[in-house]
Amino acid sequence: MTLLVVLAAGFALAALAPALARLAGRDAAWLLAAAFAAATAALAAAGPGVLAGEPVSAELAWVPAADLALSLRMDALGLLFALIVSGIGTAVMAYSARYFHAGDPQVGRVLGLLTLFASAMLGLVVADDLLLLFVFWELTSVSSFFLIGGLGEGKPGATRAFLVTAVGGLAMLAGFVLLGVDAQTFTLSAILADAALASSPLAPAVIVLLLAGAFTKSAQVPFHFWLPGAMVAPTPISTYLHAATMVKAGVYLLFRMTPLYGEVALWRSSLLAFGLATALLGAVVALKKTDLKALLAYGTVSQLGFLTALIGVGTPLALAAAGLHTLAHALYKATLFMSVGIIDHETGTRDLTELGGLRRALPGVALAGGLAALSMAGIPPLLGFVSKEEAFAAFAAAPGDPALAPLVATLAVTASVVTFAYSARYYWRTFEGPAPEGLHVHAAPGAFVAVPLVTAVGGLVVGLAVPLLDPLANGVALATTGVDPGLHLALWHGPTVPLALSAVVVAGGLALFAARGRVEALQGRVRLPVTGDGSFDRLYDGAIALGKRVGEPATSSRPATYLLPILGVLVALGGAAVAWPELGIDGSAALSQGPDWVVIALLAVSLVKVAQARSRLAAVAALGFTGFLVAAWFVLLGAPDLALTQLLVETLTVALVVFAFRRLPLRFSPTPVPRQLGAVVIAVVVGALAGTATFVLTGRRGLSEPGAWYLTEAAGQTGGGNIVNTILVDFRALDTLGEITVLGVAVAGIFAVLRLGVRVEGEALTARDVAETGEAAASEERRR
Amino acid sequence: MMPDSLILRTGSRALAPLMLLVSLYLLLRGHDAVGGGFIGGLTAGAVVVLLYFSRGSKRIVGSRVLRFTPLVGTGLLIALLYGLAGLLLDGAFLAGGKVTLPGGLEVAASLVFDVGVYLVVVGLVVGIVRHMGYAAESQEVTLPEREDA
Repeated sequence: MTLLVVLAAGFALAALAPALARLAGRDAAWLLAAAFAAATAALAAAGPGVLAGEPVSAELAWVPAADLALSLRMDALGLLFALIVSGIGTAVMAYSARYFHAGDPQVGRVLGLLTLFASAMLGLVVADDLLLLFVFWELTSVSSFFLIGGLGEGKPGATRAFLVTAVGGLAMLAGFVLLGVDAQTFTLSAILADAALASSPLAPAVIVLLLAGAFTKSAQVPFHFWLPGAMVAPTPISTYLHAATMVKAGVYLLFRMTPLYGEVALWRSSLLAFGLATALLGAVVALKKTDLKALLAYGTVSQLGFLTALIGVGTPLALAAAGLHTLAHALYKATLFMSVGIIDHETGTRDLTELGGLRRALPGVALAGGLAALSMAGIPPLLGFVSKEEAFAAFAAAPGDPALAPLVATLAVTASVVTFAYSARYYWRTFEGPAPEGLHVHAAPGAFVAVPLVTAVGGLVVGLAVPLLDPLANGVALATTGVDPGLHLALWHGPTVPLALSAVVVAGGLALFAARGRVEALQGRVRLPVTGDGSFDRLYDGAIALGKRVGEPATSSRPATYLLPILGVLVALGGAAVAWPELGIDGSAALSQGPDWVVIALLAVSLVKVAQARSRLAAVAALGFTGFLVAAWFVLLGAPDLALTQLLVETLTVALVVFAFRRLPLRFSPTPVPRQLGAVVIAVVVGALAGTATFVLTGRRGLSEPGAWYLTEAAGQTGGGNIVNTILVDFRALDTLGEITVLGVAVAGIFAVLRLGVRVEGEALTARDVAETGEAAASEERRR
Repeated sequence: MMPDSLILRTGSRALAPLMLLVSLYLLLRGHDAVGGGFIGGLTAGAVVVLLYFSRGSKRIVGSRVLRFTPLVGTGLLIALLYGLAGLLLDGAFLAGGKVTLPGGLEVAASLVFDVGVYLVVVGLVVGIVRHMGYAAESQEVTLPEREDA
């Protein structure tokens, strides 16, 4: 029940947020923060039960016919992520209350979207149905798109982020469908309990598809480029979506699927390889960035890679460490982003080369940023130290090939050395040293600084009281591997291998930091031949160009140009059908009567007239005549309804075509003879084929079963004697409703095209223009 | 621009009301014999076209009734409300049934739905005539008021 209530309240608040912001301005964020805090408390209250091994679950029927239910389930892993989502959400909301300027018109929009995102993210981590998980997953991508894009200023970044994550999401959906079909259920907990799925022949395909989803969402190499590009968003959004929560959705999926695939070699090796590559690349790039948000973004990329690799290790210890590190990262990275937001707010810049010495002007921010940087670097007694120690222990004990453990541990330590160096660089260049000339700093309001301070101190307090987290870390390992590692977290375990590795990290990081001048010079000279952004843009432009080329034949103003491919395909298909050896013609042809031949003869004459017509009006009249002849034929066949409709439609069509022709020259422009001949050939071939098809395929079967049913039952069921009408308004009334809706849309479209003017490549094309073009063509014609 | 024809104008005066009556007759009897909302609507649409050709577009454009938004909107609304009424009264969206009028006459409830169809079809023709006709003779008419005003 708790889960459903929290989720429903979240979505309701998202809808209400813009109205709240209109009433209370930016202070509406305080209200939302209170709501988030209440949600956190409600989820935490369920914590002890969940950790004792009794997951909270809830279910609400949604589409019973498709076996789709709103089924939710929160185990220890779900609890960890749910608490991060709601807890960091509380902080971000409280921070937003002072981040935005009073009266900023964007506030309502941003707060609403943030709340929507939070609800979707919460749904994602407690969903117990693959399809439901996908729906929430996409909802986070969509809200992220609107949050990054703002009111248009962040469009390129938002588009990249959305397309990368949406393509990954679709791959993941394909994986989910394969998995669900294989398991014959979409219920997540049931699938995870079915160990046979891991050795199914479909498993490799499912793994690759799921990894595509997870790696794009969690910005793993080579998809990492969208995350730094998303930094154009306001800081509360970067903090929440692109550091603490959304980018962890991919990591969550990896956690979630570990019970199934944790032992599969493809899964493990992919996670280790991509994760460690990402961890190293992100850290190295972070070391050279001077924009603080870009530095932190690449730091996030690096840490996401670290988590991915850690999950790839697959042991209970590794999973427990990964859970702990997820929490530690959320706390310190949220703090860092919020601090950078304050710095940007109060100095007007976030470029390292223009900053320095801020500790004196912004002591509170320096304290928060410093604590978070220590946690990020892995210094005791902060939570980041404990989680990194456990991670090193897990890497050093990675099972499998004996060479694997030393290799992955070395790479993880290397990434951490660089992480230490960029943490130090961040703190030093921002808060210490001399303040550059011309740097003006406003005082930051207390309420603004308090938020990052709370999260920073949170990392410190939790680090000091880390044994309290034992049940959570062990619970995550139990939920993902089935084994409780019996971990006892502590700041001091005595002289162990991880401690030695931590010492290496500190020493190496200090050395790297001391040599920062030379390192930066070296990095300045390295230019990668391919960049993610560049490749994405080439791919994007290529896709657009391809689409244009495909659509080109259909945008021609000459009907012949686009009719030709269509008729060509028709002829090819028809020819193939005729040549098909098994095409049997059963049943005898329907009877023809004498009058039929009269109609056919008249039709032939009028069609020849259409083809011969030199004036447009004559062509329309002759074409209308064929329509009336067909209507007459319907009467002969005993279909008065059809005949009447055909008659009316034909009348109106002729009238409407006359409208269109009134601005065109009276006579057709002359056509070269070869083209005329070509048209004749095409017309004869298509006509012959259509005629053959009509002869072969129609009128050879008796009354169909539904047809017979209508004849005997319709009058009794509806009280109407006209079967055509009872089908239209009774039996298939929904179809008719759809059709008349289409009619309404069509007429609105005509109005839009002819009267409002349609923008074609930036130019407004109005009816007047169309008319004038016709006029010009007509006078041209007359001069000839 | 439009050639003035005395025969057409005089003829339409007599024909238009008659055609309108026929269209209503077709609509009403549709459930039992040839006719119905589509056919009735098209017949009424033919009246609109006749008016256009005999009296010119000023007549159509100036009319308060002959606008596509109210016609299409009302038609769709009627069809939708009929569907919802079926849901409320009979438990299924668009459920039909018979209604006995005060005079003892039995009518199919789906006639209401057909009225909606009729209005939408008339609205479609009106929309096309108004706007395509306008496009065809934009110089003839001084800028008419906008449809959405």
